[in-house]
Amino acid sequence: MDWIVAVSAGEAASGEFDPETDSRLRAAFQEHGCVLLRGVFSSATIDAMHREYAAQLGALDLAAMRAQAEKPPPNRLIGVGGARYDVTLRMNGVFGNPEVLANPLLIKFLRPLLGKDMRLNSLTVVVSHPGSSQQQAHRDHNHLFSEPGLGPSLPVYAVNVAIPLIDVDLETGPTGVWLGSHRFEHMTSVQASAMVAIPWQRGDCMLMDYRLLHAGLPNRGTQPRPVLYLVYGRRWFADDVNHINRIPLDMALERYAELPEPVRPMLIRAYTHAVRLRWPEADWSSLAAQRIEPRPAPPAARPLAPAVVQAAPPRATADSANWGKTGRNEPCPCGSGKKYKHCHGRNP
Amino acid sequence: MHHGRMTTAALQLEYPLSEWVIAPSAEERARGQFSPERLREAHAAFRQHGCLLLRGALPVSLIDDMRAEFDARYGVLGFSGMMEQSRRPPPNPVDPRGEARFEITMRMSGAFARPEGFANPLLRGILAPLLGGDMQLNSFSIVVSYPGAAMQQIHRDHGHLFASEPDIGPNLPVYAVNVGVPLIDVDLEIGPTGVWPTSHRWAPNVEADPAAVSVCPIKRGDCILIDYRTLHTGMPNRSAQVRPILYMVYARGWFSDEATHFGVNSPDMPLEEYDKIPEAARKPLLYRALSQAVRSPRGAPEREARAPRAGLNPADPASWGKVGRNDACPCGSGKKYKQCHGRSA
Repeated sequence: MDWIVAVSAGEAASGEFDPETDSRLRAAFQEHGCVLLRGVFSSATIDAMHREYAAQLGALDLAAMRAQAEKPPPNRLIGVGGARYDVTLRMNGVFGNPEVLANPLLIKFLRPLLGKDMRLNSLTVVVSHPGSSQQQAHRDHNHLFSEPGLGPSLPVYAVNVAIPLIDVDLETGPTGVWLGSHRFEHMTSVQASAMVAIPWQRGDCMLMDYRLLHAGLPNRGTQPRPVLYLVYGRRWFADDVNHINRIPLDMALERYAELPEPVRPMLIRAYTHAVRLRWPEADWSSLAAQRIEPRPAPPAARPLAPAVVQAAPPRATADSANWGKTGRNEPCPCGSGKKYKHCHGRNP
Repeated sequence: MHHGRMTTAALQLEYPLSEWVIAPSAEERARGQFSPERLREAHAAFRQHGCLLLRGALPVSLIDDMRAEFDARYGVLGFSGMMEQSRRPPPNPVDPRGEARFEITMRMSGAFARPEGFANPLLRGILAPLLGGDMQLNSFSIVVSYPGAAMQQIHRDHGHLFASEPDIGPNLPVYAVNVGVPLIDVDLEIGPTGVWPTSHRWAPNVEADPAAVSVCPIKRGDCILIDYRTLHTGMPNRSAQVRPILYMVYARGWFSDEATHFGVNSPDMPLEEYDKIPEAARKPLLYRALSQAVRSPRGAPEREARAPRAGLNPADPASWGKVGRNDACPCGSGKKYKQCHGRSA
């Protein structure tokens, strides 16, 4: 059980693992593709998450979710087998809280794995209603390259962080995993090894290599089982296939603008999705007809422009002397959204 | 493996253009399929050099139609208008790329939505085996350089994957290919794209010798395929002509080029255009285009996950009360109200 590690009170308070725990965790994650951390979040934080979840989705019983999933796109609610639904949560309240999105313990563990420019790819909740059957063993995403032998040999490209919002006993059905399966080339190998499942408590979180084979266990209890999933990935990895017909991060631009600057780059996709939703407002094909000059005042009906500019992303600081070394292909720290080399890096 | 600099002489000796230029025969063009020998030759050349010039792969009539449409949409802006547009806040399809050069996310409609372009059979025949079964069109844009544009910095479209482990990236198979399609005949004066063959396999710290650039005129109907890791540059525009080049990026389904297409909705194909595309040219090629279009134009993603408003009957417009023009139509069609039941209102 070297893949289950309890966070000490000191570690939780300092937001940093003891060096010994840290190396044990890393070794376990490499080997198993999975670690279970106990006590990353306080039960007060988990309860706040549960309240916010209930405010957004609590009124939806199984029948209502089933009906909602059948609606045409865009649809934030997707059926994921049996009485299980995966829903993009609005990043309101605690779900927009940097201490949740960028939990210090988690981020310090994940950054060396996924790069300092890692991104939050999605924030969803999976609700399994009583009566859910066991899921098929599956990976969250296939190997990046199908060339024989290559995918399993590559370093991790994304990590799914599962955070149960209630205590999940074996009756209610946690997620079962096939340890080491991130290195399996084919899924058929599940027959050769046993699935492992242990009960979850509030405050736990389970980190899964995106290639790990896993399955949601049946819910034989009487309670719906909400589990929050945060997916962190390398900057060049995007998971579209699990988010058909919906955005995987739903944060209003105004909320994004309120985020502290250090966490903005990691959450930049929330900004991107929000900006893209505005895209069709303009009919670019009639640009020519508009003739740009004289510049019209922005109409009141589209007050977004200033907000967008304000919300402009990874603005480290306005003073370029403080930026340190910036890669030529990194976004310019001034927040223009351009590559550094096309912006302030043009005449270094 | 090349370390450090190469001289022009060495490059010409080692990389005569003929090695990475392939001209399909009239019969291959007509069939939309390469002969097995030529396909092997093309793949070998692309894997070795990280670039490939296909002569006459696309119909010139299509290129001319795209050019005419580009001019109609953006031509009248001129340099100063383009500059002005590029300074507007996002979402903005016009993005400056150095002095006198702009990248424009082209809405895929009209000639830009014709499958013989973005889903060209010869092109797909080469790309699909390289990029795998989930190959998608990742972006679709035009880079226009105005007279006086200087030579671009020598750059990769994207750095190596898994950058913290430098041995991995240069040895991986290709993950994205940028296909440059000039909309006018581009001679050396106007400034084609210059490439450094084999640089897709170079470590990040290996610098390109500017004098060792490989470059040749590109005509309408030609296209140049560039491994996303290959060092390249836009040559200076010393002519009096505006130079539009269409860039279509094809990539493995999971690849995201956040830096180049930041906050931009590319590929930008409206759903009504998507609906007209023949099945064979849709998935997975247009998966990203579809996914982005579905997420946005029918209104913000369904904000109310709760039960429908009390007393609202989707079948009875009289029960709907006031509906915002941009809200989802209460009938459940998924369209905006203004494009559905609100159209006649």
